[in-house]
Amino acid sequence: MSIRVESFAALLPQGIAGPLGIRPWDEGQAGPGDVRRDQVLNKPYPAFGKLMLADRLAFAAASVALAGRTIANKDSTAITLGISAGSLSTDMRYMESVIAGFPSPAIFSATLPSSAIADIAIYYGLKGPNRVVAGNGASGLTALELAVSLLKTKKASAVLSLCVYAVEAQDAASPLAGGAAAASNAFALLLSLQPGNGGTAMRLSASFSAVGKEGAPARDELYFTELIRLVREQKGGIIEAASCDVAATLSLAKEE
Amino acid sequence: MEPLIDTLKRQIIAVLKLSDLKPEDIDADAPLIGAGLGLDSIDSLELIVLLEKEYGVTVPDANTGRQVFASVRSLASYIEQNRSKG
Repeated sequence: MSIRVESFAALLPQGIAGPLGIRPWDEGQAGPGDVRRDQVLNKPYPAFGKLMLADRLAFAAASVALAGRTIANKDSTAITLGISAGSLSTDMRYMESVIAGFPSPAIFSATLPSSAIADIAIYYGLKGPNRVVAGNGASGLTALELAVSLLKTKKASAVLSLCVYAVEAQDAASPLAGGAAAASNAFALLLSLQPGNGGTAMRLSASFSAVGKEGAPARDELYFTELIRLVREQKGGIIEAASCDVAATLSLAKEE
Repeated sequence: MEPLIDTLKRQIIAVLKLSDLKPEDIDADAPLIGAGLGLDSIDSLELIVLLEKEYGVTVPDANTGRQVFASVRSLASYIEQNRSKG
């Protein structure tokens, strides 16, 4: 049994990576947190500017992964999201508006870890099940496992699996952050099930050992970076637009 | 009223972070909510906050809100009528 990586995206300090290659940030852009609509979406979307950091990163990664793709069955395309610090920075911005005497309805509506899923599902019309995991270092990996589970159990024909780190610098210093580091990056994998082998209780294991330090859990950020590197290398470097339809295959090891 | 309309267009873009829009893209007579500018109910709440914060003007009920947010021009008119009452 394999999971096909139909497409992918990563918003990293180096730039935006997707099936078409890596595009560095423009001069003056500090990184993923500064991503503009025109860098990830080729048509106007006025609401993009309203998205809070976590939602903007997730939407941007999803848009790069879904760019130019026709989703066969939107009704059964699921979304899973691992978001390490939940909606922490959004919550902080909302509290600031409360303290200032004018609570912001727009920010309040995004004070949920699942907020990004709603933005993506509505914009792209994805009506399959969705799951969100907000729990520190391995949220993205857990979301990825949930994606595999949704595919295995036929609850989804495809899954857009996202991993987002979104903590603004001023919030990392707050006691409320619980030690979360300042970060802004995002990963997206569009997955589908590829028949073969069969079996139950499969667990993603590809390349995990390559990035985890001995005796210490690897941050899923490193895992995703490595995963996307592997996907790209299977295509012999940068995946060209023409070869995007020939999706890479990740092997899954059987869990004992 | 035209200067206020221009100011409101800039404020709407700034408050709602409509980064793809410029003031000249907004038709002063087009509906703000739904068709026209395409704002949603959360946006209208944000505009109510803008009215209170910047102009000290409140929208007392939903019926008034529907009239006020019919267009940028009606919004400006409402501000001009109610600002002087404060």
